[in-house]
Amino acid sequence: MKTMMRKTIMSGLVATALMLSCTNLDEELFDSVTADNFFKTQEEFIAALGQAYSSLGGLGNHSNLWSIQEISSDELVITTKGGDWYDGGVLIQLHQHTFSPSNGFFNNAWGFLYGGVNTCNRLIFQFEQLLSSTDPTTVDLANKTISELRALRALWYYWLLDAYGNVPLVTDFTATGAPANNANFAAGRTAVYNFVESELLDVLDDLPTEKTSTTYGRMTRWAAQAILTKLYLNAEVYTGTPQWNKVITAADDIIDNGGFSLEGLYADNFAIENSGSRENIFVYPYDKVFAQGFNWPMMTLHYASQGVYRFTMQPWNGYAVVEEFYNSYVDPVANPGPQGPVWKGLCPDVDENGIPDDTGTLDERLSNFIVGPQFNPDGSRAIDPAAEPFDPDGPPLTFTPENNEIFPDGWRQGGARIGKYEFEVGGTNNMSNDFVIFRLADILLAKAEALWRLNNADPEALTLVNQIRDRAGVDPFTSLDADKLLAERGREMFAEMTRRQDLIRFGKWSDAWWEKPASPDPKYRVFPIPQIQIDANANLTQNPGY
Amino acid sequence: MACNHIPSERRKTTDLFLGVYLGMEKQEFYDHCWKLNRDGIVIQGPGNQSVEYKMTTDDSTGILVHFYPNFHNNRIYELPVLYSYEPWAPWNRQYWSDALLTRIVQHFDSTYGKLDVLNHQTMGKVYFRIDGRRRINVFIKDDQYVQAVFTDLRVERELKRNQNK
Repeated sequence: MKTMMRKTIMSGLVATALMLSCTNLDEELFDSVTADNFFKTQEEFIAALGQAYSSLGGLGNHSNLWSIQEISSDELVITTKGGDWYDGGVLIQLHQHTFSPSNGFFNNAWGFLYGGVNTCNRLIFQFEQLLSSTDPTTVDLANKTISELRALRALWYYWLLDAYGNVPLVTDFTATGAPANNANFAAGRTAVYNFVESELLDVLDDLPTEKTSTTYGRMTRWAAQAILTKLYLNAEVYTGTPQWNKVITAADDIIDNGGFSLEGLYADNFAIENSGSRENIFVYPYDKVFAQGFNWPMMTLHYASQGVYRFTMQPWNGYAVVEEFYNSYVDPVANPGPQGPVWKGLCPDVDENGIPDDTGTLDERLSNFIVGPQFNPDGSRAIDPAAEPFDPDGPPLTFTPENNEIFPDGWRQGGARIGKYEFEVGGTNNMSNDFVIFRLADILLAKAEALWRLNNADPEALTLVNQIRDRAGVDPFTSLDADKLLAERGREMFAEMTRRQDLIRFGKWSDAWWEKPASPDPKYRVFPIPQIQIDANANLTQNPGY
Repeated sequence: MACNHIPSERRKTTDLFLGVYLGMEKQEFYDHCWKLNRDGIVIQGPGNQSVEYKMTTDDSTGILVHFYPNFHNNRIYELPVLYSYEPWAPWNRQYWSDALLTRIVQHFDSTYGKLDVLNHQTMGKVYFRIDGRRRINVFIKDDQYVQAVFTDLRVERELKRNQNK
């Protein structure tokens, strides 16, 4: 019941804001609230905040921040399948690190991120009008709300800092001039870093600490500390100066005081009804009716998967897992643990170590993937009636870990698919699972890494990593090194928008991987500022090298 | 704006744009979109309105168009469409939705016939037009987006009737 209440209240909050996009004009809509006509009670303050949070609804769909983070990493790929999914070559550019400022995905993500900033700026401006009120309760509520909005705005800027580096800092909704970023990239990126840090530290003590139905999906102290943990974890990349001790301090606040714990089952964090997770720190509460936009089953599953899941809509057969990444779970050497049957598809009978191709590590996090033969509810094989003659498995639908090529004739059934979030049988193109933005496992691994960076033999670092491995049902490590830490983060955090920054931080971003040659040019460590934005604002300086 | 692909002589009150029409079967819509995709006219876009194509204005400013229909009995009965200027940013005020609304309404006027306007209590200006079974509403969604909604009134009436039962 508590879980349902949480979900209902936050979904209601977001839904109030999303009524802006409702297509029924009979509804009462609140798109032009002003301080004097709307914000009077605590409930009205919260409802107004929903507008700010609803901006996060772009996280779970294609061609946005999540896409540029994931496709450009070694986790995911979208192959061109005949005429499908070429889309002007932008997807291949992302995966192969040949992207340019004209790639439309960068402008979509830029608009998404600055749209979030803009909504926060507007609401902060509106709430600031209330600070002159003679009613102390109103002033107190306004101050708390402004603090929450500043924390949320810091999240948007953290993502901008991570993706684009040197971006203009815009905090005044009434400002009309075209802002500049710093002509010096490093100085500009450091300025954004400093802004995110100072904003969060400034509001930290004003944010709620309780975990209730009214704070679910909102900026709490723990969500803010999670941003700080990730900011400090990547500080050396962002500013040139590592901040390992600050990682530990921020993480410890969450670990010691936040009241979070690892879920017994990894997959429970991503279930359709995951609002009861004790591990998730900050989420966006999607709802298939009231807060739509989370459409991973459409993005990843095969057209014929519609019958398997009895979806009302036909999936698009896009995102697939890179085989080497999938193998990092089942490989008994890299990921020691109990051995058993795992799907390896079209691999040779035995690998170079003599391991049979159908045996591998039974890591519970294999729930991240949908792989192998697909069956309809009546037990019959799902059939791809348009299977190409060169598809090795023919019409019966089988997701093989292998992909043959990125272009032009990728196998229609190639690659494991993203199974991280539970799909609803009979569902629509919208999911109700809450999208996990921060969770405890990420924080534990961040602390472990910081401890390890300070002292490679730190026993607590090993204990923390093994805590994560124990939950996954695999063997503990006896020691740590960079490769193990990166691989463990990969297995645990698959498709949670961390892989790109992890690869950069561990110096692996430029490496070659499937259908991607080595990309040593350092410019690719940030995405380019979209050309369309450069063209529209002469005060913007493009990132170096683009 | 170069997005009206429906010859005037065969315009019907079920026609929308890009060959999509009210009552179009779901599978036909998918097949049609795959063809548009293969022809390079649309790509997979963000958000719930996940088919994306680009219109260009007379001054070459791009307008991104995102759409995805709602189906009833396997046929399109409603098509929400989102429009945004490609160079939108908080500081590019000339590309905010209030300026875009004017352009979109002009475009609709020339494509579907002149739209009327009403002042909605909370939505502000809402432009609309009804031709036979097709209703068009156009309004500002937020600072970035203009929303248009094509609705099959016949189906909407049926749905409302069922809802009230």
